[in-house]
Amino acid sequence: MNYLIIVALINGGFITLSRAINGKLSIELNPFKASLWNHLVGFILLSVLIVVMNKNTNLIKLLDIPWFYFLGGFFGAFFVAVSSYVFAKLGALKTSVLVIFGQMLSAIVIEWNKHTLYSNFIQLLGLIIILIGIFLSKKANKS
Amino acid sequence: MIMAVNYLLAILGGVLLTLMVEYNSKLASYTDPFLAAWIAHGFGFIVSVALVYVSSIFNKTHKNKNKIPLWYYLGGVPGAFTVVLAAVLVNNGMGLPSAIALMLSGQIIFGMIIDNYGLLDLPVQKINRNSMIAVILVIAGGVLVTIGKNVI
Repeated sequence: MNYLIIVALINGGFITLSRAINGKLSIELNPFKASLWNHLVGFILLSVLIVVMNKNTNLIKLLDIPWFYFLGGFFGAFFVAVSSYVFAKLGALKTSVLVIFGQMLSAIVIEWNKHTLYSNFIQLLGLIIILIGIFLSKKANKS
Repeated sequence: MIMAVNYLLAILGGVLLTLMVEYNSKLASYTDPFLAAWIAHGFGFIVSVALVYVSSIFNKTHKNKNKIPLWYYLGGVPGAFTVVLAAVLVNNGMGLPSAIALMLSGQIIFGMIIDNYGLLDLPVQKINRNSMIAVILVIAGGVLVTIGKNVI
């Protein structure tokens, strides 16, 4: 179990690493091109992994999936463009913190009715604590 | 003012991320996390090609003359591994809330290290007391939001 904790932390590092590299490319080219390269390279890498791991792709089955389930790629293309652009402007820490805030806020809004009042309260409390953190990180460079 | 726009854009990025994860996990429930990520990258590639095309209509002025290092193009590598490792974590019995909370922490801690040392040729932003407290608060808040989901 302990090694899984390390893997999870490193995986978080990979997220930041990916954003940082895409951010660099977006300065040289532009955010949309950074998104393009990110998806192209990721697609090729995953294709290789799928072949190597001998995954049963069963592409015919994909035709049964409702079309809007494929929207993840659509949002992903915009997400990488936006996050690369912002990363180049704000740096790693502020980008992570603000993206996390947006992620948590929207997750809470989307699932608001699915949870109990108590659960919503705890989530809101978490969100407020993140906000205080953001306020501090904004001041962080000035002192 | 421009700073405020960047802040809002970053928050919008988080909203987009939620939507992406939401739809990709629906897709994964039909297939599996690997294939879902593969399909999402394929679609994302097509959409980003369209975005590059549309943006080039409006902005023809930008012409890059610098020599770009090869690794600048490889952001997709850690990006793809994120999906793979997340699947490994969940398959080995780590609950999704814990996985999310830990990945969130790793993200912030690594971000702080990058900024502090100016790694990857990024501008140096030194860690100080405020940023340290901010990091602890954001991680704590993130854990509450993630765990709070499963509290009855």
